[in-house]
Amino acid sequence: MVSLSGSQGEGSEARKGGRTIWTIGGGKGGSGKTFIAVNLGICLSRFGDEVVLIDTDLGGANIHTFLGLSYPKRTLSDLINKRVESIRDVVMDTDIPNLGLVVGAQDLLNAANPKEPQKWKLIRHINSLDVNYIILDLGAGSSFNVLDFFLISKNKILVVTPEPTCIENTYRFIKSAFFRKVKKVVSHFGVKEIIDMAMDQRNERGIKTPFDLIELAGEIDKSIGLRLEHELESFRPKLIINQVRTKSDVDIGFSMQSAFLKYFGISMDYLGYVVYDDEVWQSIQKRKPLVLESPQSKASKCINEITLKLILDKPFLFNSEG
Amino acid sequence: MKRIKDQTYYELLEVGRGASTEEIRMAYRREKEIFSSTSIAIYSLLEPEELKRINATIDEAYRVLTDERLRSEYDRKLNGLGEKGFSGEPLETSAIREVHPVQEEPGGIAFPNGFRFTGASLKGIRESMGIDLKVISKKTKINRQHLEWLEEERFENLPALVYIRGFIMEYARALNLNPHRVVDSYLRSFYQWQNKRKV
Repeated sequence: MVSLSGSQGEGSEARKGGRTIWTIGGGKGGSGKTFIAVNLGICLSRFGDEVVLIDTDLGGANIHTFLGLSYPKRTLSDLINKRVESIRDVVMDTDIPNLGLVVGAQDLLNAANPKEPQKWKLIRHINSLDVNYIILDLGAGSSFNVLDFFLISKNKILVVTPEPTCIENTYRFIKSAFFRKVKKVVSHFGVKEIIDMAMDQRNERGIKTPFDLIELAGEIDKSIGLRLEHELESFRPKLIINQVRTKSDVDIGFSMQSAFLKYFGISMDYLGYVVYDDEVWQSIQKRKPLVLESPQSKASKCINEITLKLILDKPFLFNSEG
Repeated sequence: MKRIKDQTYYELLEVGRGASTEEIRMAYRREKEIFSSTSIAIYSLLEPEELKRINATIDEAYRVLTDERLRSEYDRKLNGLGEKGFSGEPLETSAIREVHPVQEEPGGIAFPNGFRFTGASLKGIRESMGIDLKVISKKTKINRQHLEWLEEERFENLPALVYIRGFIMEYARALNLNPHRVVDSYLRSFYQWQNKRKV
């Protein structure tokens, strides 16, 4: 694969003093995004890197509850409403060394749908945060706001439970995310129009997959078609299957990987799975993070493995050395 | 990155060209499971019609690749294509069609083996066929300026390699030349230029 942007994978940037953002999404509420984000963040902070967890669920922020903390004095809404100047001012300490937390807004006016300028300002603030790792916990749904936060990172992680409803949402989410991404990279008006059309599931042009879109765009302008093809190749989301009960649940990850590639042309890294574990439920009830409360539980071990895979991901190491 | 209908049977079953019958059998079972109508992993992804078509292609891939005679016939066809795959519908093994019915000899000129397709020679071929660059631009949807640079091998003005490759493919098709042969030959000039630049 040829890199046009010249900046493949930022996964190990943090390991050499740079900064890495992981965005955690998936479209479906209740799939365990916040649970995964919090526990990944804690595992990561143990490596000595500075980690900040950001709850971008504007309107229904509750990441603090997972950490047993009460709603803080300063949140993202203070930043948006200019009561503070820097995102640093809304990073709150946790009891865990190296782990900071930014709580989303529960009170923001029309919070779930901030206006475009507000959102981009927020994204600029996030990008300016000078720490090793930033983990973004996204809200549910496939709205533009959620998608735009999802897309700010090259490390886009999908959390999926092995249920038809969640899988259905995931396919819709990833398709929308790709269309949203490419809309930003093309300037051709006609192609932009087609992308808008593609966002509608039942569009009149019959665009169902990225392939369909690329074909139509290529008919208008060959170089745009090629550009989109490159975007598709470098899109590469990562997948975590949560609440796995059986071996066939585990295999769903591999099957989705295969279906994504064959039908959408999207390569996906299957990071791993987290087993269904009563201890997860108990830890949430107690408002204590699983990896601290039950470090020996099966689910904790799964999360540790995923953290390692994310940090040591070979393609990333290769890229940072090359 | 190809659509299912453009994938080779090996790509479809996700096995290597040298896969054993046993490997193919296992791969076939796996693919049938993924694309079964009750598979959760593809829930909501495909229309029933699409699913039926994909399953038929997987069945056909299995039938061909587990039959020694059909497989070697299929391999021969693939080799002839330089492993670039197909355009169009999946092959019918009963009567394998010519997949790239390209006429390699426009105006009766035969290109001998080893003929270099460079910017200049492509321009020459185009002009000898009496085709204006405007026509190529319209046909390929490639900007005329880019086409000129391709013919002049002004690589420093052109976008990255992926684009050049794509452009030349289209250019070759528009002239009814074998796109793969033209690209392989043309890009030698590109690599030479690239190497020179590194020194």
